[in-house]
Amino acid sequence: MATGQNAEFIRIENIVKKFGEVTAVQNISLNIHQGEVFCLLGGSGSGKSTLLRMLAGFDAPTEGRIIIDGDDISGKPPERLPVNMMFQSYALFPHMTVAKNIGYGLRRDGVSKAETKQRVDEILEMVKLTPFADRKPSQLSGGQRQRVALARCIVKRPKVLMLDEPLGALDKKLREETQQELLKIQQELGLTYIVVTHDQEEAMTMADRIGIMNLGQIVQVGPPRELYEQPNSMFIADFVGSLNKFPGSVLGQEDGRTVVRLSEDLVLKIETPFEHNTGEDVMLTTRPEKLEVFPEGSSDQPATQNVVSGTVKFVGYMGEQTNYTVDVGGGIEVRVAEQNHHMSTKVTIARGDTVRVAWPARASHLFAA
Amino acid sequence: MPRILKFSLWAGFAFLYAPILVLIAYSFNASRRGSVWGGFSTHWYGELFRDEQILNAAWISIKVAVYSATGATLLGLLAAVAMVRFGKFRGRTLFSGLMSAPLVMPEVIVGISLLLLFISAEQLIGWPAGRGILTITIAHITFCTAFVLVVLQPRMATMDRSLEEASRDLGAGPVTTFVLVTLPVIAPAIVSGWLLAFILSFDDLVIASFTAGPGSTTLPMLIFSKVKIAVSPDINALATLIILVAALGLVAAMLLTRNRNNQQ
Repeated sequence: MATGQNAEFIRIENIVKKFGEVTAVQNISLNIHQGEVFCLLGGSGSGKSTLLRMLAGFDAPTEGRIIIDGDDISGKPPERLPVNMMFQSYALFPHMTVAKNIGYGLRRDGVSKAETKQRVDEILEMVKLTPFADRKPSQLSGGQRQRVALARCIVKRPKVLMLDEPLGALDKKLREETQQELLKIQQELGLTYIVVTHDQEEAMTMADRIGIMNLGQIVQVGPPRELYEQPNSMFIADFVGSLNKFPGSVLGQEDGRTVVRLSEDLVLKIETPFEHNTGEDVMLTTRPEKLEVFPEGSSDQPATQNVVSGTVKFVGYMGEQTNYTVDVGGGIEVRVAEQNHHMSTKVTIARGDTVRVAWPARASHLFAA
Repeated sequence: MPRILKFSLWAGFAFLYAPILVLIAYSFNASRRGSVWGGFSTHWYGELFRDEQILNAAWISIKVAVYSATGATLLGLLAAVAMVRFGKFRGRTLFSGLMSAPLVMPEVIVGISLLLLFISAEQLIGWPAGRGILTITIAHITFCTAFVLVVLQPRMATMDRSLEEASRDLGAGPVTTFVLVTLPVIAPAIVSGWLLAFILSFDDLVIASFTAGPGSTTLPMLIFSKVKIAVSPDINALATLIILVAALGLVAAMLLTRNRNNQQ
């Protein structure tokens, strides 16, 4: 994480983008730091691509300003901006060789033939494509094309590199490798990355900070851990990772904990930084991996604030973890995910078994219903 | 495939191509009388290349076809850019209709109207002076442009827009982008559009008849005037050659389009 030099390297000020009657981006203000990997995460139609296109100069904002490294870029055509974009489709020129593709941007900037060749060779070396310099894009694999697209951008030493769904077209195995490769290059060159993606796993692993977008607005900005552990809204909690959510009402306070009733039999004590009024209707959320199941009568027993009994309805063995669905009565089903730390040391829990669910006081969040 | 389908397929092919095959066969007929088979001979092909009149007409046709195809391709390209890249400009539907109208316009009417235009233009501004290769070429460009547009427009519409954006992003202006990225990518469609226009112009009889003047008789016009007297065997040979040229052009255009599609 080379975050630092300039916390306002990119300043997005009150940006609005309308297409006719439709507002794609609604009044976004955001600062992006120099040298960080910033992810715009959101579903389709959330406005993330529109924002990226405005940053790259393809679309002009209807209102507001974008300032990159002290330069107001509003109204400037893309060829004059110190940013480069790696397209989702890679957009490699099909009629040019790999070397010509990579050298294209340098030649347009008036770099001499000799220097272009030298810099292209350097970059080819860096992305390990030297033997493919004279091939056409159609003769390359998906991963190789992706590296050409990257090389074509970084050879220009842009101030900001935008990546539109950079791993979208790659298979799972290649994704992890490519992800590390992208980050390695980012650190070596001290680049600022803006990544647009709909894949939260991709965003979580790559980003220093994530901005989650919905309906043309940024709902929360923060490091991945913060978004996951301290979501500022029900939307974020639900959007990132998997979630148990139960409607309930606040019964009162006890020892600095909020007492919440989910059903006649199920009352939980929750530690939350926010005050909730007695009688308030709330939504209680808990991530499955914060909970733990114990077989009835096992020597190991939960020592958490809340312990809930129930019947196992479903067991899904996933290899690295096991998912359980536990019916705790009152029509409430709780999903629990447990890491399989040891090889089968724990007593096997099967469908129909009676279990106790350990529910720590700090494992849940409350949101206004 | 059921027998009945096979039969109807071949019957259909026979209906379409039997006359052409008969014509090709008779071009190798040694007999002077068209209807009697007198053995195999390439005599008439030799005759053909000694006939000044035919060679002259062929040369005029080729010149007109090259000029018209080139002019129509340029205009068609501009029209395609306007249709595909300029979004929903005012009068787009009208423009699109006007561009493709020559596809369905009866040739006789196009011919007459162009003839009237040329005559009145000559009276008003003294140009074009008389009718000849120039007027045929202008006439052919007007209807060939529509066909070129039909070939180019889908190619431009399906072209990955991000290629042009990538070029801009890498520092090229709009014109450089068009020349270095757009044109090479749609080049196969441009070539097949040109070939199509060439064949259409080369084959045209009706419009050329109206817009030609003395000394600018095209090959189809010459053939037509000759067969009005009698079908001579050398015309069969000439027609066979024209069919060959047209077929080669069409196959080339098709191959270019197909290669392009395979690459993507």
